[in-house]
Amino acid sequence: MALTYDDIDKIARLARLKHTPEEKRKLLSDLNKILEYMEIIDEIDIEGIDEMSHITHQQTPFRDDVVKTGLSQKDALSNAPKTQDGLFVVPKIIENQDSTE
Amino acid sequence: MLSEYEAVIGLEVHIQLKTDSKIFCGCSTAFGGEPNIRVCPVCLGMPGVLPKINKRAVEFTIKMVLATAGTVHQESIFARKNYFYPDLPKGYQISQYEFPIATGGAVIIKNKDGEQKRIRLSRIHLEEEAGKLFHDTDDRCSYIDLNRCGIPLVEIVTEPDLRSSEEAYLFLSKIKQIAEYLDICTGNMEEGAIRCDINISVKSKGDKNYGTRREIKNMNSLKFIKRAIDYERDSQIQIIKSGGNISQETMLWDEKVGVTKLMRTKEESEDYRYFPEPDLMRLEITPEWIERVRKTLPELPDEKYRRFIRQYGIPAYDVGVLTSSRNLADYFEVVALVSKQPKLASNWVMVELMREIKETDISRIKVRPENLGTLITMIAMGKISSRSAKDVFAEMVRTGRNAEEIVKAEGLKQISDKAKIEKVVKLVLDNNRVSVRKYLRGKEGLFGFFFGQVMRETNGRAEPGLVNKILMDELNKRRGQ
Repeated sequence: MALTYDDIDKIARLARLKHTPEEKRKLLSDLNKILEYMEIIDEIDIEGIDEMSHITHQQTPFRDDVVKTGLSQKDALSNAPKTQDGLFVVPKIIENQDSTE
Repeated sequence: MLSEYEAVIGLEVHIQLKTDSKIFCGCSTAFGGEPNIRVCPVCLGMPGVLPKINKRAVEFTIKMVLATAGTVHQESIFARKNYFYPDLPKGYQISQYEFPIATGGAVIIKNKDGEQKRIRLSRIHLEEEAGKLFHDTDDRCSYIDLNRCGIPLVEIVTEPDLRSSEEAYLFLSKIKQIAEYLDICTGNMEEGAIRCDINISVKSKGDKNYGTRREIKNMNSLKFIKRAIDYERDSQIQIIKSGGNISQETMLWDEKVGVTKLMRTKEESEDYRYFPEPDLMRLEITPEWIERVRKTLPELPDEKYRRFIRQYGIPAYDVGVLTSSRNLADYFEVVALVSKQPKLASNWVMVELMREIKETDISRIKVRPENLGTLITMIAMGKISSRSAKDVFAEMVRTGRNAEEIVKAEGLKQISDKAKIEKVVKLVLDNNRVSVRKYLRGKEGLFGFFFGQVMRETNGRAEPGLVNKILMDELNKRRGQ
């Protein structure tokens, strides 16, 4: 199934990216080539194999609930382009709202 | 007008788990203090880091599932929920999607008339908290504190079984109570330890089909949750009555104005592109582990409620208040068992103690429950009057000293010595000869005045029954004179 310019626009919006028409043409063709290549996987016979999310059968390892010292505030902020009073500063986000959903 | 319609409500409740460290790294989960001091490369979302899950966070989740009679799945999978928001530095939240830790279960709520209703749960899963954003101080910038980012959250999703703001309130209170009993959450809503999203639609009563729902995001106050639901219900009814249609939208509660406002429409809704988290393998919870956790479960609110009614024979209302928190219930039990006076213990805990708790926390009250028990024993045995018991209690609250010590030191012991009381009664009557004459001529209302005088003379320590009797006798003696 080939992608369209609408798909490119949607993916770009989700990734918060902007492209020129020229870039979009190139992206469309590149992405479609990648997808075609991936379609080779469709040829594999998966009859009788259960759906899986991970290829190993291992379970995820646990960590004990022990506090460890992380970074200092200075180090934590050291890569940020803008900081103030120990906080990261970014361009204004819409409503007064946290994102966890 | 509202009676033809009813609200259909489902909740997504987020509970911050009270682990010491975060869900995927060793940073502390403490609240408050300087921003960005409890962070590390993992919770800051730096490239190349790997999450490793906190075992206790899983255990706390299992507790919640068992307490709400859900099914813990032996195998569950973490998923990435992808979206850009600056409080989430990785660009995705590690959550669970198709394969949550648990499904099913229910919570029983009880309204003020004692009617019970079963609210079904659809699922319970584990995920990570986002950071905190501030906007207030500047027009052009937002500020981010990532201390909170990565605190474990349990999300509880209900079926659309709630029908009113009152029921939603009762449900949340119950979840808060259960989490507090399990000791898995601070329950501190002001600090955001429990928050919820509300899905709400309206329909004609009797209509089997649900209307289109709107979602109100991120509420953290029981009072505002009630108001937001009522506002949203009424506004949806208005739209329908005026011939409009509800469209699937996300709303925000504006607490300053008291209205819900549009946050985003369906067209703008996020496409989260969930996929299995490749950095974490499947989460395995063995039946043995579940059984081990089950054995650590405390007596839960409903069980405690039934037992208190049975064991102490106190009114259902009292039991409801006393079992509202585990600490309060434990406190009461000690008072009741030490004093062997459950009803008196309940009155004292609910009136005198609760008045003190209002201003502080029960754990900070200086009065040890066994000392309150002793005080109540002294009241029951007539050693001190209820009146002076209140003074003793005030002293206990202030100093934490025990009741017997205070009574001894302050000379508050009840006067039950007949001769002593007689002496005071005579003195009072001698000092009020005019009133005594009036009384004897039929102004019987003056009895209360004499009684009050005797009590005042004895600083409230005279045993009231004895004063009553002696006063009556003495007045009768003077009838002939």
